[in-house]
Amino acid sequence: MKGLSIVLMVLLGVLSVITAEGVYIFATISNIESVRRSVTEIGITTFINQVEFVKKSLNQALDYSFYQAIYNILKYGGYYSLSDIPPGYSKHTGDNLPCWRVYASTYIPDTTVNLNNAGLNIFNQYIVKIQEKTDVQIPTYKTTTNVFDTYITVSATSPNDLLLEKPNVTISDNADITRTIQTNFGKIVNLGRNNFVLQDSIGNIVTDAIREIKSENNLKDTGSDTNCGSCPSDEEVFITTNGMSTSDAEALIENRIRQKIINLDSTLDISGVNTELIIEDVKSDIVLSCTGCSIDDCCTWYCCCWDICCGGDPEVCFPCCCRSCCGGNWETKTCNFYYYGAAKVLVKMKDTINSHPVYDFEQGSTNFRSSQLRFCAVSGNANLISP
Amino acid sequence: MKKGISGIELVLMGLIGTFTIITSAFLPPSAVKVKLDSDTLFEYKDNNVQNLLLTLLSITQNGRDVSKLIAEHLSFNNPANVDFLESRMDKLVINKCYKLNSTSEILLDSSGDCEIKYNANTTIVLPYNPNKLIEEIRVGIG
Repeated sequence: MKGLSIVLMVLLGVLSVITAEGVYIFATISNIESVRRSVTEIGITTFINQVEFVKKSLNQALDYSFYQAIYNILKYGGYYSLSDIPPGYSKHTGDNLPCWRVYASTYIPDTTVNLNNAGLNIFNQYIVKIQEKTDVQIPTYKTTTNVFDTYITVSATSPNDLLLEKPNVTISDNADITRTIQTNFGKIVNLGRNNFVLQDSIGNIVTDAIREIKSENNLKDTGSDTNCGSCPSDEEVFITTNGMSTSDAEALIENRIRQKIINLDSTLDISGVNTELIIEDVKSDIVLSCTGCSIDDCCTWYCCCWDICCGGDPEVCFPCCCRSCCGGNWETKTCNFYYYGAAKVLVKMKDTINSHPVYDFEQGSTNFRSSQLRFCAVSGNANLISP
Repeated sequence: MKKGISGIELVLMGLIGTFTIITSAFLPPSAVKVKLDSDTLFEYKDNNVQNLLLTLLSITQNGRDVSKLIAEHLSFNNPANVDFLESRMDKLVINKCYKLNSTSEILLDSSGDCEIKYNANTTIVLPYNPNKLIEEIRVGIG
């Protein structure tokens, strides 16, 4: 009887332990399930964060891509690099910058298209590097750029999503990005295009300078001169007609052209844009087109007997008249004078408000820099200067 | 020589047996639970560090993205230092035990007398330079 009660107690103890363990294991398993769910959710949050990191990187990359594109496109006269200037387009001697105007010919780049292409190209370089460091699949993008006076908008779009595939979890998110970049790119390009492509400001300056100098100095388009015994030179005809040499007249025209370009420079400074017109060459040329000498009688008659002028007519004066001979033939030359001028200007237009972190390929470094449009313009009423 | 087992010995054996049975029954699941809780806590903290890094890179300082300020500091040392991040990190990390560094530079380090336990890292996009477009940054907290 005594032995049975001990066995019963042991059995009861074992049963109690098994029951308690069952309850404990059940509670633990329930806990493990909730922990498993929590860990899964934390894992999902981690994956979402990875996608967010990539989106953030892409936003920043798009900004930096277009900062760089803006800087280069303006620096190289509308092209990302000088090697992008189409064959046959006129280039500035020395630094190979594009010339937007060479007399009547204009070579205007499509700056918006070039900006978009350059920005996308750089953006793709960033994407390659970001992709190397993440499991998130970055799709192929295309970009659309809209240029306004003081800012541009860039949209990078893709038909595919950002995608992160892990066991049991797939995270996807819209890959499209739209960014607004503060820049006077549009204002600068329009200012350059309006003044040196749509209008021929340099050509107009040359024409105005010639007209003004002719008017102020009474310079004539035709003239003649008579010499005794020899044909006057072309230059003598010009001097006799206009009271100054061609070189003096040319100097006056050149100075006036320079002055007018300096005046234009100051008028092109608008809000947010500083313009610098560097005058590289100014030339004027007065071309004399003469018909040669007509030879008159070597002597002229004049009246010597009376005070009445007889006009040198021997019939009227006879018999009291004299002859005055010059010692040769009177030779008269008649000339047409053509006034020409031309100027070559390096145009620099700088964004005075915005600066961005960009790489300068000539300096080989990255820093905050303001963008500056540079191109050359050559114009006038004759081809006196080459680009 | 005493014959058989005394009552006290029997009670002791019963106690030891009961303790052994209870211990062997409850210890393994408890150990598993402790390990899971520990791992979960680690995952949670690790995830929090990632959130911290994402938050840090998303905030602005004087109207500029902190991620850009860090990138420009790393790229060409402008701004020359990123000390302004310290006040931000002090607010985000309650125990003020943190370290922020890139592959090339320690940006912030308050972990002089504490141990960094949880880390998160990501790549940061640098201003354009054909030789280097991205750099890795890492944040750790104690």
